[in-house]
Amino acid sequence: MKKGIIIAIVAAVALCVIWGISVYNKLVNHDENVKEAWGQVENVYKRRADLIPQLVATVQGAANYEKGTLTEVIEARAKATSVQVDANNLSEENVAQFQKAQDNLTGALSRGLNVIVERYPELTATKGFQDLQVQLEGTENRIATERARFNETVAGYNKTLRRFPNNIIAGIGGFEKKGYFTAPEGSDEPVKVEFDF
Amino acid sequence: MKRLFLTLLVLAATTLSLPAQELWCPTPTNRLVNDYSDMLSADEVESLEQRLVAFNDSTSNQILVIITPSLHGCEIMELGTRIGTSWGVGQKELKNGVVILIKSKTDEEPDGDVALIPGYGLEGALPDAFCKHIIDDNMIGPLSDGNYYKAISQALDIIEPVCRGEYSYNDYKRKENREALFGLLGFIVVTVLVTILLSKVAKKHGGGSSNGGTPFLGGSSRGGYWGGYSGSSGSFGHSSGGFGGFGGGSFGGGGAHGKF
Repeated sequence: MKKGIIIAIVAAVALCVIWGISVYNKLVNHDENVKEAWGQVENVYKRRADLIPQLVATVQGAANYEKGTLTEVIEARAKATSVQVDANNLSEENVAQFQKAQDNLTGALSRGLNVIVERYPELTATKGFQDLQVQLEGTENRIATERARFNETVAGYNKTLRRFPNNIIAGIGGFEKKGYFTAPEGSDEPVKVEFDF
Repeated sequence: MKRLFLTLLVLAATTLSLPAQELWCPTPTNRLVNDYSDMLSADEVESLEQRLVAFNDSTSNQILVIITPSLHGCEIMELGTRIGTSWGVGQKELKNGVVILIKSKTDEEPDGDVALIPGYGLEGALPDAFCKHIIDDNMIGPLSDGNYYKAISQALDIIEPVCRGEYSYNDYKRKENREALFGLLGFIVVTVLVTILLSKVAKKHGGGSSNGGTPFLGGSSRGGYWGGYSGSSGSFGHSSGGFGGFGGGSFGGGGAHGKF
C-alpha cells in the first residue's frame, strides 16, 4: 500500500516536471521568435540610417546648397544610431527608448525632406534624387511592416508568459515581459514620413 | 460587486471592438489573377492566369495580380504587403512572391494607384527604385489609357526574366530535396530512439507507464516538426491544368507604387 502511494507521488512529480519542461520550451521558442523579429526591426532601421548619408551627399551637391539644411537630420541620425538595445533585454523601457530616438529621426527626416523640396526644386527633379526618395519611402514601409510584426510576436510571447500557470515557470526561468512599439501620444498612427509632395 | 461588473463590461466592450480594428484584406482565392474591378475581359484574365501558372510551374516564383476598385482606407503598399503575406504568395523557404496590386479608377474614388511589391526573397532582384521604374515606364501609360492588360503584361515582360534569374525551378527542387532528406533522417532517429527506450522500459518494468511518457513527448513534438515540412512540399503545384496553390511566402514591405 505504502509503495503505491510513493509511486503515485513520483508519477505526479514526474508529470509536473515534464509539463514544466514543455512550458519552458514553449517560452524559449516564443523568446527566439521575438529576438528574430527584433533583428528584422534593427535591420530596417539600419537600412534607413545607411541611406541618410547618401541623401546628405546628394543635397550637398546641389548648386545653391546652404549649410545647415540637414543639420537636424544628421544629429537625429547620430542619436538614433547610438541607442542600441540588446536583443536579450527587450524590456518596455528599452524598447520605448529605442522607439523615441528613431521616431525623432522620422520627424527630422520628414521636415528635412520638406525643406529640400521647397529649396531645391531642380535637385528634386533629378533621377538620382527621385530614386533615393523611392528607397527612403520603401524603407519607411519596411519599418512599418517589421514594427507591426514585432508587436504581434511580442503579443504572443507576453500572452503565453502571463497566463496562469505558465507564469510560475516564467518566474523560475527568468522570463520577463517585453515591450511594444506604441503610437505616439494623441495619435493612433505611428510617426510617418510623408512622400506625397 | 459594482466594480467587478464594470470591469467585465469594459472587457466585453474591448473584445467586441477588436474585430473593427482588423485591417481589410481580400479573402484568398486559388487564382493568380483576381480582377475585382472588371477591367480585364474574360480572355485577358485567362491568358494572364495561364502565363502566371506556367511561370509558377517552371520557376516556382509566384506573381499575384489583384485589381480592386477600393483600398478600403488602407495605404496601397501596406495593403499589398498584407495580402502577400496572408495569402502566402511565393514559396515558404524562398519567399519568392510578387504582388501587383492595382487600384482602378472609379467614380467614387477617382485616383488610380498601382503597386509592385516583391517578397523578402526577391527584394534583391527587384529593388524599390527598379520597381518604381517599371511602374513609371511601363504601367502608368497604359493604365491611364484604361489598357490594364497591356500594363500588366508589359510589367511581367520585365519582372519574369529578373525573377527567373534569381530563383529557378532547380533552386526550389534542391531546397525541397534537402528538406525531405532532413525530415527522413529525423524520422529515422526518432523511431530508433523510441524503439530502444521502449524496449528498455519493457525489460525493466515489464511495461511501466510513468517512465514511458518521456520518450513519447519527444517523439510527438519532433513528429510535428517533420509534418510541417511535408505540408509545405505539397503546396507547390505540378498539375498542368490549374494553379496548385500559394506556397506560404512572406513580405517585408519593399517595392514601390505610383498614381495614375
